[in-house]
Amino acid sequence: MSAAREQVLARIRSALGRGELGKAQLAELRERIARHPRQIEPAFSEPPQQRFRQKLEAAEASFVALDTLAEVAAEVERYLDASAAPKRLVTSGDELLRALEWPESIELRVWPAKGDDKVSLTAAHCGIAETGSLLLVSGEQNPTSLNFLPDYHIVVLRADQLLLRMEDAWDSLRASFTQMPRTVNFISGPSKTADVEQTVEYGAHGPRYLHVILVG
Amino acid sequence: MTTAETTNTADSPHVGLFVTCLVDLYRPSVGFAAVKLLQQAGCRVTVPQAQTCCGQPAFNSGDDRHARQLAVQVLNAFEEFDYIVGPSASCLGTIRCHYPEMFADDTGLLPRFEALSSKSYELVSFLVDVLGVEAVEAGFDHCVTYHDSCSALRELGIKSQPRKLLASVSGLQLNESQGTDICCGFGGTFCVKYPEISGRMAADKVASVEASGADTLLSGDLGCLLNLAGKMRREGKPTRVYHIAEVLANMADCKSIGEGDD
Amino acid sequence: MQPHSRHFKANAEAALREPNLQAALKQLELGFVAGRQRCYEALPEFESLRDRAKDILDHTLDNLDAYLLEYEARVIESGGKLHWASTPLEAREIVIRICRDAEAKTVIRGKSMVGEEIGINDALEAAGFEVTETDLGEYILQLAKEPPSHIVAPAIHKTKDEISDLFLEHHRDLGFTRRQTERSALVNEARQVLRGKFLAADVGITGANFLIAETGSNVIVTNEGNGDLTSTLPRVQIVTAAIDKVVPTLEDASLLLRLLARSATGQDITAYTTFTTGPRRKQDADGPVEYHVVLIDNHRSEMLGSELRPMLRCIRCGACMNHCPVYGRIGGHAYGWIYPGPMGSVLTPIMLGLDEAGHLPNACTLNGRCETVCPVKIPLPRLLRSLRSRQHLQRQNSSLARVALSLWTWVALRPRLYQMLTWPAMSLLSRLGLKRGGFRRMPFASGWTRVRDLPTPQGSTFQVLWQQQQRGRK
Repeated sequence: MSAAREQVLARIRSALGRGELGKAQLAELRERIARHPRQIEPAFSEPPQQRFRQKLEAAEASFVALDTLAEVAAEVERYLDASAAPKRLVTSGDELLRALEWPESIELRVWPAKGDDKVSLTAAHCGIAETGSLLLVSGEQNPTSLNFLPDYHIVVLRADQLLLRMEDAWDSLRASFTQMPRTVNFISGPSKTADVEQTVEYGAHGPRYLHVILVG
Repeated sequence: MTTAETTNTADSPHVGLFVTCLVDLYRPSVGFAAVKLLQQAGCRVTVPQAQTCCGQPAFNSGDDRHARQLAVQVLNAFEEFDYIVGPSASCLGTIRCHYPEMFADDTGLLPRFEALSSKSYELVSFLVDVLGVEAVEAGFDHCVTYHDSCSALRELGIKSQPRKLLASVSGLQLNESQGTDICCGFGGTFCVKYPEISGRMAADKVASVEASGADTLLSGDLGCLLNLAGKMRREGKPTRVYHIAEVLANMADCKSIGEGDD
Repeated sequence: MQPHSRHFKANAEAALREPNLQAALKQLELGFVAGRQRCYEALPEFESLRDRAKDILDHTLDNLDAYLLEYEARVIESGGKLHWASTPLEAREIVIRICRDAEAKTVIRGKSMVGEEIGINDALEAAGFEVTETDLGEYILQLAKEPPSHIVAPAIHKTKDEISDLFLEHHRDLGFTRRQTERSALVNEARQVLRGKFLAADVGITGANFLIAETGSNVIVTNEGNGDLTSTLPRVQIVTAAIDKVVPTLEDASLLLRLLARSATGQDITAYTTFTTGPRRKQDADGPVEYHVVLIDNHRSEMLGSELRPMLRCIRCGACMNHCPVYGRIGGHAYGWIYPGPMGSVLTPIMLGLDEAGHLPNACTLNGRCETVCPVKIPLPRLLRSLRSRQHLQRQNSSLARVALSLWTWVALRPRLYQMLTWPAMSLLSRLGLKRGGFRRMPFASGWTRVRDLPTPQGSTFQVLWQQQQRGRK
C-alpha cells in the first residue's frame, strides 16, 4: 500500500489521540453499517401519489397516470404529438417496456443512446413520493446515457413501485440486488441551471423535458 | 469596593447594573434609564464601581489572556448579586455565552462563571422574561423602527421583548424595516479595520431605516447605534437615534445620538 | 490558482465599486436566502435534521480512519481503484498518471471544489491534456480565466452581457457566429458546444458530495446533469474527494441530502442525485471501464486534531456565504482563493497559512447569521475567533492593535484610574463636538471617520454622574 495511505491514516489516528481501533470497536461500526439505521424521516400528510405528482410538476416535469400498461404506447404518441417531438424513440431493454406494443407511426430503437437522439423511454426501478423522484438503475438492459443525452426523457413507473422515501428505495435496492448497481440516479425533474444571472433555465446538459407515466 | 446603591424593598431582587463601557463613556443617560426601568419593575439596583469593560474587544481580537483578566474582574464585582443586568446584548452575550467558554478548562473558576452566566441578562429581556413586565409608562410621539443587534437576535434570542414593551409606549408607532436580521456593520474592531465594508453595510442599513418611513431609530446596543448614527450624520439624514431604554424610561427628552445644536 | 488573500482589503474595496457585482450580490437575498427560508418553514423537522446531521458527522469524524478503510474496501470490491494523497501535489500527480496510463487526450470535469483546491485544471493543461469544465458556471469561468466566486454558483458575479461576449469570442470558430443575448439561447449554445466535449472525452473527473462507506459509492448532486454525463460517457472516471466526505451508510447520506439542497439553493432536492459505485459491470450497457478515487487530506487531518474539527462537518452548501453580510457586499473573489465567505475564512488560513490569509478571520463582524443557517451546525464565529487567537499567539496581528488592546486592558483592570482618565477625556470630546453633534475627523480614529461621523459623547461619564447623584441623596 502507498506511503500516503499510511501517512494519512497515521495523522488521523494521531489527531484522534488513539491508535487503530480495537476489534470490538470495529465490529460495532460494521454492525452500524450492517444495520444502517434510518435517520429522521420527515412526515407528510398527502397521499403518496398526489405528493409525487405535485413535487414533479413543481419541478417542471409533466405527469400522467394510466390504468394499464396497454395504454402506454398511445400516451407516448400523444405526448410526442403534443410536444411536436419526433416519433423516434430510443428505449431501454427493460422487461416492462419490452412488453409494449407500438403503432407503426413510432420508430423504435433499443439502446444505447447517441448524442443526437431526441427522445428516450426508460422504466424506473421505483419512485419516491417525498421528493417526487424517479430512481433509475444502470444494468444490462438499462444504459444510464438514456437518462441524460436525449431532449425528451419519458419514464414509466408502475404504481406499486411508488415508495414513500429514499430510505424505502435503499431497502428495495438491497432486496433486488446483491451489490449496488454501478449507477443509481434519482431524477427529480428536467435538467436546469441558474448559472446565468441566478435565473432558472431548463435543458442545461440533460433532458429539457421529463415526462412521467405512472401505470396501475 | 465602594458601591452606590438605591433601595427598593429589602427582599426585592438585587440587580448589579453592568453599565457597559460605551454607555459609561458615551451616553450616561442610557445608564440612568436602565436604573429607572429596573427600579420601576421592583428591583434593588446597585452599580458596582469596580466595573469597566467586559473584555469583549480583547476576546474578539484573539487576546484571550486579557479577556480572561477582565472577565475575572466582572466576576468579582458581580457574583454577589441576584442578577447582573446591562443595557447591551453584546456585552451581556459575552458574559452569558462566552465567559463559560473562556474558562472551559479552568475547573476552579468554571462553576463560578457558569453561575454568573445563568443570572446575566440584557436589560429589556430581563424586564420581560424574568420580571414579567408587560408595559411601561412612557410616551414617545414618533414613528420608530427597531434595529435588532446580532448578539440580541442570535446569542440571546431577543426579538419579541423590545417590541412588546415598545407597543406599550403611548404615541409610538413601530414600522419594521427590511432585513432586521442583517448586521449593521459595526462588529467591534471590524468597523475600524475594514471601514469600507463596514461603511457599505451601515449605508444599506440606513437606507432600509429610511425606507421604513420611521423618523427615529431605536436599538438595544450602543455600538450599533453609534455606527448608524454616525453614518446617518455623514449622509445628512434627519433620522433621530436613541437607545431603547431611553424611550422605555420616558427619558428620550435629551439630544438624540449625534444630534448637534442646530 | 495563485492565491491573493493577502490583498483582501484592496480586493474588497475594488469589489465595492463594481456595479455589476453589486447587482448580482443583491440577488442573493431574494434568491438563495429566501429559497432556504421557504424550505425551512415548509419542513418542521428542519432543526432536528440539523442536530442529527451534526451527530452523524461527529460520529464519522470520531471514527474517520475506520470508515475510510471500510469505504476503501468496498471501492476495491466493486472494481474501482483508490489512491491516497496527503497533499495537492500528490493528488495532481496521481490524476495525471491515471490520464497518461489511459492514453487520454481530452478530459472533462464536473464541478468540484476539491478539484479547485488541488488546482487540477492547470496541472492537466500543463501536462498537455485538453480540459473542459462542464458545469455551466465553471465553463463560463474557464473561458474567462477566472476562479469561482461562490462554491455553489461559481459564476454568480458574471452578467449576461459578459457571458454573451465570452461565448461569441470562444465559440465563433465552432460556427456560433451570432452574439446571443437571451439567457435560454446562451444556455442552449453552451449545451451544444459541451455536448461535443462530453461525447469525445477520454476521462471524466468529478468531485463527490459524499462517499458511502457501506457501498463504496460516491454521490453527486447537480441540476444540470453534467456530473452524470461526466461519470457516464468517458471510458475513465476519476473522483477527487477529500477525506471528510465519507459517511457510514446510504441512510446517513439520505438525511444529509435532505439538508443539502434546501440549504444551498432552496430546493427540496436537486434535479439529479446520483450514486456511482465502481466501473461499469461486465454486463452493463454503458459507463466507464475504469473508476478511480483520489482521496485527499490537504490539512484535514490536522484540523481533525484541533479546535477546528467542526469545520470538517461542512457539506459545502454555501448557506454561510449566502447569509454573510460581508460576502454579500464584496462577493467571493475578494477572499483571494477558491473558498470564500465564512467557511472559506476558516479553511483558507489552514490550507494556505495565516501569513497569506490573515485578513480572512478578521473580516467578519461575528454577527453569527452563518451559524444559524449552517445545516450541520458549524460554530463558524467561534472557529474564526479561535483563528484570531492563533494569530495573536503567533504575533501575526498588527502590533498597533496589540498595543492598543494591552493598554486598554491595563487601564480597564484599574477601575479608579479608568474613571480618572475617562471623565476628562469624554468631557473634552463633548465640549469640542457639542455644537455639531459629531466629528468628521478624529486623530487615531480615521478607520471610523473615513466612512461615518463620530457622534459626540454626552459629556460626563455615567460613573461620575452616578456617584454625584448618590452623594447628593445622602
